[in-house]
Amino acid sequence: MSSPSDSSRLEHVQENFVRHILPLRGFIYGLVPRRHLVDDIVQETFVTACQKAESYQPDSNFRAWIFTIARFKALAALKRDAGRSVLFEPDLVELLAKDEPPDHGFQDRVAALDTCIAKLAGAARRAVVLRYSENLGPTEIAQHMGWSVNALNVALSRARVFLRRCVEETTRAGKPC
Amino acid sequence: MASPDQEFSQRLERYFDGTLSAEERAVVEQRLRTDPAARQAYWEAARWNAALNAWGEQYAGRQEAKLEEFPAAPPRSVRRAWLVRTLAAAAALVLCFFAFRALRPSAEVVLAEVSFQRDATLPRVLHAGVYTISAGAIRFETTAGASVSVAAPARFRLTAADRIELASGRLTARMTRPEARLTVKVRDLEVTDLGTAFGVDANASGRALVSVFDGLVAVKTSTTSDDLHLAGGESLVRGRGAASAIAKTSYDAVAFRELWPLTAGIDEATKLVEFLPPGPLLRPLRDYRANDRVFLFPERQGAVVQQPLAVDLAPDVRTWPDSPVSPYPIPRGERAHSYLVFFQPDVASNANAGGLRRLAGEITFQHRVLGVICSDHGLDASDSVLGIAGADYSTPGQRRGLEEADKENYRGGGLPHDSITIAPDGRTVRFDFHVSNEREQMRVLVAPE
Repeated sequence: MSSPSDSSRLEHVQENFVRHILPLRGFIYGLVPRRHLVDDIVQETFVTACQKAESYQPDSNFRAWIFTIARFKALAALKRDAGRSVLFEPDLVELLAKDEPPDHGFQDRVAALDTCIAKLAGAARRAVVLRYSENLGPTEIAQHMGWSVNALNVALSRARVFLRRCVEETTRAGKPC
Repeated sequence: MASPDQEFSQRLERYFDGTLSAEERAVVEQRLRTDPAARQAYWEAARWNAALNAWGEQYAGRQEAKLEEFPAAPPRSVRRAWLVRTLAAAAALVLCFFAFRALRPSAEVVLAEVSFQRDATLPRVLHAGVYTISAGAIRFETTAGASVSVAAPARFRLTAADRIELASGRLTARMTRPEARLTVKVRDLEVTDLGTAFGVDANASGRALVSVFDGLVAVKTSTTSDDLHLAGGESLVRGRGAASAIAKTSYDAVAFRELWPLTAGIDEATKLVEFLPPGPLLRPLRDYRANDRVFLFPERQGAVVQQPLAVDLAPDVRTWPDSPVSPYPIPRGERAHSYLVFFQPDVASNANAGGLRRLAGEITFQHRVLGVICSDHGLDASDSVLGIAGADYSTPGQRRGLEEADKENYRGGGLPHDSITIAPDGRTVRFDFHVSNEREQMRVLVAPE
């Protein structure tokens, strides 16, 4: 049977998990950039974190703890798919994970994207929505829009360049560009 | 021309989009392993990609939330009659909305899981929605028990675990368990499985073709009151236009040639493997002859082993004939899909070509290999359990199994023995046949799931 301190640790872990969910997903996207895998890994990380809540020390670094669990889950997912995957080799992903630089502006960038995407021309905005909201690949988007895949890739690339510049200006100035 | 750094950035973009080729990926991997600055650049690009995806997920959530908005209350100063009418209309709207929500499948419910993709990029799990594939082929397993393969270009709507609307393209389906069910709607036809494997082709000209490989399907149309029934080896064609007649036609499995392997539960095979069409044998087995390839014939699917079945190769004894251990038989009660892989020479042309040759390749099945039978006795003994009714497997007075020893003086030269191996993935059978003017066969048994 769990003690009161166990249940309060579990609550602490769950609350912090929710608080860190956005940067955690960002970190996992960096290791395995496929949405269905990110969803699976976040879920597995949550389950493991709850199972290990008893051993978590509340005064320790929650971000480091949860990111470590997520890193192991991501590597396990890659190894499960080894040989059939179009993603990087697990040993390289491990190397990348160790080199992950600190990131403090992730949520601001996501917030700024709303304003910046609204500034895109109609077709480019449609392509970005299909790519990142509906999670379609370039070939499928090209078919939806009646474009060639090459034209779609060029449009997406240009849109991303514009968005990156717009987001950087927005977050630097603290106001919409 | 792009600078090396620009090129690297573009390759990272393609990696995140899932369009980076294997060769380019190897180049990027090499650079990331050796260049710390490249790893910093990777994380910048990865964070940017993650931010776009996070925005996309939030945007999708907001679009969903818009559906939940309740009509705003009117100001108190408006007349009571207007208020009553408005509230009544709002209530009706809300009731309609919730009725609609209750009736439609939730977008979050998983209806199918993709088990194979070639050059296509569908998500691993499929919810209710429209899916388009413009290249390659996919196979997915519905939660209602159907294994569905689709060849590009194709567009279909998954409306429930047991219902697909095919707008264009070719689709085949195989039921994986007795209680499995599936209805495919194409044009004004509804094709409902009654325990079977079948194909539907909705081509660009507006014509629709239904072919039944095995079992029975019911076909419902908007112009007939009774269901039509199609049995294995039968096809039906619906012409272009609403007024076009529906007519049974000669059995056409060729339209689904690209999907034959996936339909049969085979993910990949070397090019020298030629697949026989699904459904009843159109020609006797003895008529399939070639000197430069082997044939693959899907036999009984989901056959239940009634007596312990001796095999020559099993997952615990992976190499034949070199292994010093005899594998255990497949136990009674086990279910298996059976596939006959055979070489059958075209003797006349083989004599002209000099006869001896080597045929080596591999076949990767969807599920794990239970065993391989390749001895004369083993093949003869398993024909009745695993073979197709009506197929003539007899080879009176002739060998049919593989050669397990070298022949030193064979037509003036040496003929090395054959060998087969189950690869470490447990799903791939590698074969290395040394063939001449005698037939060679092996029967591969695969787990149904």
